[in-house]
Amino acid sequence: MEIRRIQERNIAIEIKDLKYTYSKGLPYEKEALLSVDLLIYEGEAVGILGHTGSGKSTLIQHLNGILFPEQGEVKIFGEKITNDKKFLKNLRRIVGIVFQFPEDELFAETVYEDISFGPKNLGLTKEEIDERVLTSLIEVGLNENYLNRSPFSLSGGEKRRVAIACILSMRPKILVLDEPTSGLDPLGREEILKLIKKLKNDKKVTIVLVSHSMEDVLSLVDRVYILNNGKVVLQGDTVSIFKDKESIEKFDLSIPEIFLLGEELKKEGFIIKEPFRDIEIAKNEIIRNLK
Amino acid sequence: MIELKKVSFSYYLPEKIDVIKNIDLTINKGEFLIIIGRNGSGKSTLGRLISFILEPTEGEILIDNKKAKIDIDYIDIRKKVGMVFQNPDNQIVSQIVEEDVAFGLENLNYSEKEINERVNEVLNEVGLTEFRKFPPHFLSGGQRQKLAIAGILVMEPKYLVLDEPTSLLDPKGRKEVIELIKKLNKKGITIILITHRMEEAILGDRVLVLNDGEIFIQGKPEEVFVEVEKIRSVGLSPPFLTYLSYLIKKENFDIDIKLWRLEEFKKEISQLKLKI
Repeated sequence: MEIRRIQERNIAIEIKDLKYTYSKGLPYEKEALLSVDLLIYEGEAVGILGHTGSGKSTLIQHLNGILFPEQGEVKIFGEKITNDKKFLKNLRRIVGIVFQFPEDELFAETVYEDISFGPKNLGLTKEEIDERVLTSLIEVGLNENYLNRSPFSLSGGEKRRVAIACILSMRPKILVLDEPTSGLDPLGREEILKLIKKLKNDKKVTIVLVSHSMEDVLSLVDRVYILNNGKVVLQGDTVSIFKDKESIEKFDLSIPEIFLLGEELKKEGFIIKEPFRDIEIAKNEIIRNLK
Repeated sequence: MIELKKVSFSYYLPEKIDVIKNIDLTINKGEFLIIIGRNGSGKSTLGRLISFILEPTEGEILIDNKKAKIDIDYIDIRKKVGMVFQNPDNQIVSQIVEEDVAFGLENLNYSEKEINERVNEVLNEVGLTEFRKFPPHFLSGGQRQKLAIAGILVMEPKYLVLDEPTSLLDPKGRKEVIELIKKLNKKGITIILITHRMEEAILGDRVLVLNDGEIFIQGKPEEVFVEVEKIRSVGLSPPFLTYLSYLIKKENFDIDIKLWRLEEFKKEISQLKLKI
């Protein structure tokens, strides 16, 4: 039954035999992706893991036509990505990419100007633009008091949220995030994780998360793909991947302590119904066992 | 010993913004000091003051009991204090690993023989000997950060300030860099580590929590992190087992709030269960 339910879902991203080489034909050419196959369903949250240089960034740049396949194809909601201008314009509305340290891309004098930049280029009316700016700002947990502030007067976590609001104002159906919590303080990190969970649960946005933080991966995504030397070397649901100690070690990843705690308590005879993916779950599971 | 005496630092943009406010701080020789604080608390500015990249707008900084001024004592300071940043790529200057390590010494006109010896020694120390002829971009993130550290180590500093050196690295790279930092501290180099990762913060002899340009609390990790509410009130969070013990205690269970190790915590929880 479970399998049939999944099959009925729309495919958001389909990648077949994707190959990409940097500086092809030059003496220092580098094969970043050798042959990648990947399938992500609408509404799923999927993590892409792998050590530095494994091809993660190259891969996500194929999702909205920043890079084009040297071989193979990338389909978004069934449509093959080509370098047709009109197609790309539409594609970039559907796929929003939040790059690493997105706050570095803030450029305007006010938060309003920054967030409205995208919607303005869609040719919307002033009312529609204002509505989108405000909605996006509220989605990231800020409010209208921020509209006239300079992005540079905000804290690191706030800046990051404004940068994410810039992408959300395009109403993407697929949101790709590259290391969204790196460099944030612990509470800033908790806020960003909450925001991404909300987008997934309430707005049914498909999430692609690239991260070195195993804690973020564990708490956010349903499935993971592990890249190594330009190939997918392992894929599976998040919980079974973290249970697979051998593979975790082989691919230089690490198991979050919180997850280990859940597994260890199970061995001690605790009845653990839900794997420990975040501290809230851990607390609830432990307390239920203590009552 | 590095001593900060009533040190303040302000930017003028053009209105005055006080980033560091009247801080007194003594960093002892051989210490492993951790600096944590939310984004915008002034951590990086404090790190740059300690490493004499910035000069205080008020107050003074003494190094080994001597007042030091960046413009006058530049070379002297640079031989004593080194700084490593978040992104190693901003700190790597050469196209070949060994040349990058040699850069600082070349600028100080050391002889080729001496440069060679020191470079050999440092590459061995950070574990990059086999990559000495490689271009830096062939290295992994963790290896590149170790190369950035090597470029500082070659100057034989007594004090090493590291500003979030692992935040861009993958788990393996993080581990490698932290192991290296621990090793350097054991060898006697004073470490000042700025970090957002609590599993790194507990490694220090002392943790200093910075908030809004002031020292909020400081002490041994096991003293500081049990102040869960205080810590969370300034945008931080204790290591997760400490926080979890706090949450469980809040539900009226009899458990200590402390820096737990996984094994201990598991036993404690199992015993709690037996009592019921």
